[in-house]
Amino acid sequence: MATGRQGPKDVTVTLADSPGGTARNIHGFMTAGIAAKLINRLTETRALGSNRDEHTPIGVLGIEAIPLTLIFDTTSTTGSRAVTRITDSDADPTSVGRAMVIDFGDSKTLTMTVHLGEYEEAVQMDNIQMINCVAQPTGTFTYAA
Amino acid sequence: MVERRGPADAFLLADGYDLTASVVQGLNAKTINRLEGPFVGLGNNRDQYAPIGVRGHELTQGPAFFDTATGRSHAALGAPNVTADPNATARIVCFGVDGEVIGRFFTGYEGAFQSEYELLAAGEELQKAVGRYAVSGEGNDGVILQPVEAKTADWNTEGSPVDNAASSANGGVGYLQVVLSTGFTNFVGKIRHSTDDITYTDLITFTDNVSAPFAERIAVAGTVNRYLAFDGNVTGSGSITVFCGFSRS
Repeated sequence: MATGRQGPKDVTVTLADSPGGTARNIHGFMTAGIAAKLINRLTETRALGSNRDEHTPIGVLGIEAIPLTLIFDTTSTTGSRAVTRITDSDADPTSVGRAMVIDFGDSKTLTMTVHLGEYEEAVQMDNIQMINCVAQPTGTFTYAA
Repeated sequence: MVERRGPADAFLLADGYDLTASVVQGLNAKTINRLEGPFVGLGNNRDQYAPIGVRGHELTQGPAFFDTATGRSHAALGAPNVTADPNATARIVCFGVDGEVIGRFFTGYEGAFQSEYELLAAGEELQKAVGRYAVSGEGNDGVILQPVEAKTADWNTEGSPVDNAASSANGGVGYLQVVLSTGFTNFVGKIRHSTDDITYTDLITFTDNVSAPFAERIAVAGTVNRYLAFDGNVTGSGSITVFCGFSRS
């Protein structure tokens, strides 16, 4: 894959079909793009006598919840409904979460574990059925160099 | 092969009221997996979230035509259905976005309390009605055994059963919605199952009832055989419009 600028055709997204399950490609169902925001948790440390804001990292990183919009597809096993529907195992307190990998192009991947927090089927009068779901990253994650 | 669906594939039934034709601006059905977090444990430097073992459901029906005819949106969604009684009976709701075809997916809600009823009047439109539901208990994902259809004599769907490829051992839940009933003195609907698609036995027997609109939800334990079908038995002459689906646990 070429270095430099990357476009929509260079993006791939895979999501395990269950906690600890098989990785499935879901980018083929995604029409609204995807965004992953890395957060460096900061605390305000402006002290008495200072007239400037001051922030200090607390040593914790996180990734904000990732909304996903997908075309509703009932294809068995690999369709968007089969892969993203929240199941009993997702809600189990002992769930190990689902592996998710986003390649933004040129193999610059973000690899993480997520819990599916929301799954919504949406019927609109001027569109085909869509799925809106939210993947909440948890724990460790890796950005490819 | 893709399996996409459009608005013509959606349907919504609540306590036997068929809101499908009245719903003009969509439907949103959300499952929520309640997560605790973010939290960071000692020695850890990453946000963490954890499921607490609780799921919730929300159902929002888009604006429907405000229709005061018998069995239409005002009767289905109107103020008497928005009850503040702590001991009120929850509504039985079934909806689908996959098409009204035997074997296609549907979702049934164990207990849906209508939390809102909104009437909208605008200068250049017909009045609209919007209902919102808070769901208590389970949302059951299942398959359609009998799509909404009018019947005038005994019938069954054993000629086109739903094949699960194997039996299951953890029971399930059957949903029945009866939209219209005229003339008949009795109606007994049954969900039947079979190991070989030859010999069928009763799995669930719904209450004998011809006072539409009504809905019923019955749970069953134990083995559910591979093949499922619906059987409708009527007495007298008339017409009855019925929907049935089953969710394996």
